[in-house]
Amino acid sequence: MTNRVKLRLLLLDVFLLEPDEFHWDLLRKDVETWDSLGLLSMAVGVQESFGYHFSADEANSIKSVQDIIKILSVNGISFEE
Amino acid sequence: MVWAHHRVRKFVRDKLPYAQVNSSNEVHDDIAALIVVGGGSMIDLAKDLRYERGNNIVLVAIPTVWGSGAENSPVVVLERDGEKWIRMDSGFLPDYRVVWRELMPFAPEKLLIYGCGDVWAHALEGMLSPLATRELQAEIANLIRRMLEVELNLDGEWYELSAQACAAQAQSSVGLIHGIAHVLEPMLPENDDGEKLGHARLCSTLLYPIMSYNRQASGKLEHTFQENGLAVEPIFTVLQELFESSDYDFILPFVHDNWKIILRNPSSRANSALVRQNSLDFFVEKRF
Repeated sequence: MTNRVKLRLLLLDVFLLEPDEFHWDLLRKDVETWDSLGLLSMAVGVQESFGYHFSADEANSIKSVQDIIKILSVNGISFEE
Repeated sequence: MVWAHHRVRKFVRDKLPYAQVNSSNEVHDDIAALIVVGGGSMIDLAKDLRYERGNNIVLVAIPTVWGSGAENSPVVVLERDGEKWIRMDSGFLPDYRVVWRELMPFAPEKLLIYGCGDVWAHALEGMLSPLATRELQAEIANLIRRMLEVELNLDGEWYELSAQACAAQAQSSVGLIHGIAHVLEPMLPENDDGEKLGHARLCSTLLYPIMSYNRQASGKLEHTFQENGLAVEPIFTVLQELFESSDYDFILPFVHDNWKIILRNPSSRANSALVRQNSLDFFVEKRF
């Protein structure tokens, strides 16, 4: 499974989205369940799926799916197809 | 003024020389202090009543059973419109809590055993919470070491352990055990024996399956235990002892039918391991 597929499945679970509600340009403000608890469970899920632990500053700076990809990419987790 | 649970009312009347009321509605506005003697639900009602009246009343909380730790918690859990209503504010914390071990014989024995499960749920979910600091984990690990030394029976030490577990957990969060319990409690019908499964009983039975899930879903449980000098197996032995398969089989269809609601519950979302849509299979197939 590619990291892109893993991340998509993770975010569907974390934010309780239907598959057709997800897209790669999704913004935090557009997802009702992307609240502080959503952020917390996303951090737990990212640690479980990618072994990466967001710092508090990183977690608070995330405003979109692309932000997640950027932070993980900088830390050596590739999302290249 | 004293508001005591009906099981202990006469005993309390003989010991405390204050006016007694039989319900929260009878509590006067102009009293200086309220002594509530009861279980977690009664104590939470008293906390809410005092809070709503501007906190001018000194509140003394004396638990008759252990488990909820309501006497030592800034959280109130009330049932409103068929749902659990949870609020947290330092203003809810009683001014004094008293351990009155002589009340223990008045409580049904099974209720006290289930209360031990509630204490374990607070301690474990609080320690494993994503919000728990290392200091809090170490504090709860010390508490767990004491809990392992006390048997799951009528030992008054559980009053103190319960209060401490609840206060510690209030500094982080609970998890899926409480998520399921809070969703199911208002909707569960009576079981075949005509019993209503309360919060502590649900926690007791859910502990083993859910901690087993947390253990297999992420390395966090083993890692946190190890880092704090706790052996996993003795703890899981206690959880197995608390597990009641007939209760589990009774609640499973309700867990299945309400899984989406459970996933949205704030406690479930703060679980130590991510709870996914397909995590339900683990519980339905009893992979523990």
